[in-house]
Amino acid sequence: MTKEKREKLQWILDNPAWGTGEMHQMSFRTERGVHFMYSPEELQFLLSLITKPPEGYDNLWIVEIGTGKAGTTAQMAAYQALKGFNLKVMTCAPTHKVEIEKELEPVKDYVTYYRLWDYLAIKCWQKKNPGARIWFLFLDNGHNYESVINELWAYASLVIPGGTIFVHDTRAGKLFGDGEINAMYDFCTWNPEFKIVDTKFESNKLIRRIG
Amino acid sequence: MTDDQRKKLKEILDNPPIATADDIRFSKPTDRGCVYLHGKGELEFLLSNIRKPPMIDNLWIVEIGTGKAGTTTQMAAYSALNGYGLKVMTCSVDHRPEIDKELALVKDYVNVIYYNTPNRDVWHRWQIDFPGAKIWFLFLDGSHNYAHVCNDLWAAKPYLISDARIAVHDTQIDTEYGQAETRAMEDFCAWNKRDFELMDKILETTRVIRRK
Repeated sequence: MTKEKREKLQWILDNPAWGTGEMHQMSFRTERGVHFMYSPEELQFLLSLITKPPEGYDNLWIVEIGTGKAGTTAQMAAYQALKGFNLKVMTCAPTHKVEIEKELEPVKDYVTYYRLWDYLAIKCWQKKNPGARIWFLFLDNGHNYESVINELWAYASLVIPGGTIFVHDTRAGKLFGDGEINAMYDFCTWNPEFKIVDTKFESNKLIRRIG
Repeated sequence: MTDDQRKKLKEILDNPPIATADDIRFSKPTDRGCVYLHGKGELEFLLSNIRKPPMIDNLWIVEIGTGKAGTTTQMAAYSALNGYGLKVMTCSVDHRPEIDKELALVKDYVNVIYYNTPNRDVWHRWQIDFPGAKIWFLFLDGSHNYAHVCNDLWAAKPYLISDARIAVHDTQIDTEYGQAETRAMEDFCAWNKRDFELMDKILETTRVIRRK
């Protein structure tokens, strides 16, 4: 990687999201009342979960369901590239926001973006990348039971052992949080090779594939 | 199969479920307000979806939600009488006394495995006990809500062979649970469009998915 490219990627990491300053990125609320990221610490925590992948996989991906404005997508892509993890990133959302292209431009070598619903994106992605497996799965889409449970069943089977699933906006007591949490517990009950891991953040939970 | 055996199986089919009056069997609501089967027509429709299977070993009828094992016995007898050679697995959390009595009727003709186990655990247990087992007919009649139907459909997916059928009970759209079950079926078919399709509605109370 050239020095110029490294600097560009580092700039993305130093300026989260769409380059308009930390507070804008970190506290922006969507129409549904869902936050992108709740704090710089949460973003750092998310990135810290993208660890060095194991040897022996040459088609390993970070998959994000719910592109939003691609702020987190760009962060994850830049982070893994700077670390030299050699991961690719797939992200999908049915609604195309103008910020997405701008955000993804500097990391376009690493990112595949599908303007599709989650259930269609997986088909296109798998068709184009046969044998692709997931190292880090980030669910930040429908924020309800129905979307999370189906996404888990469809995508989590592609997560390799040791891989991580990060589910966002899991605040208990909130309408979307309860549905997400129930879906995670149900999925792990039906699939004991996956275990829920609590984090210090109320706004996210993890699932680890242990077997 | 001897004539005597055939006669016995025919008797079971001619006297559906608990061998009491139809009005108890066919219209008794459960605690959740669901009914077992909504009429003889529905039972016949259900059985008609158990068709001649392909020549594959270790092929099963799977029922989630044994109830009183009335439908279990019917499915087992129907399969045996037609010479389909299918095994039957059924599970429920609450073990009712009628279950053993009902299943005893068919134990000499069909291999029926009953697990007194919740559906979330039964899939693993069944595969450990019968490695490589596949499903020709799946009948979901357990908890009538989105979560259970959705999770059972996904859990069964790897074991359903081509042209297998899935029947889901109590899908009547004028009830909350029927709507939830139907939504789970529609979502599953949307996620797995290449492999599964929701078949045209024939009965309001039982919808069927086919593996393509």
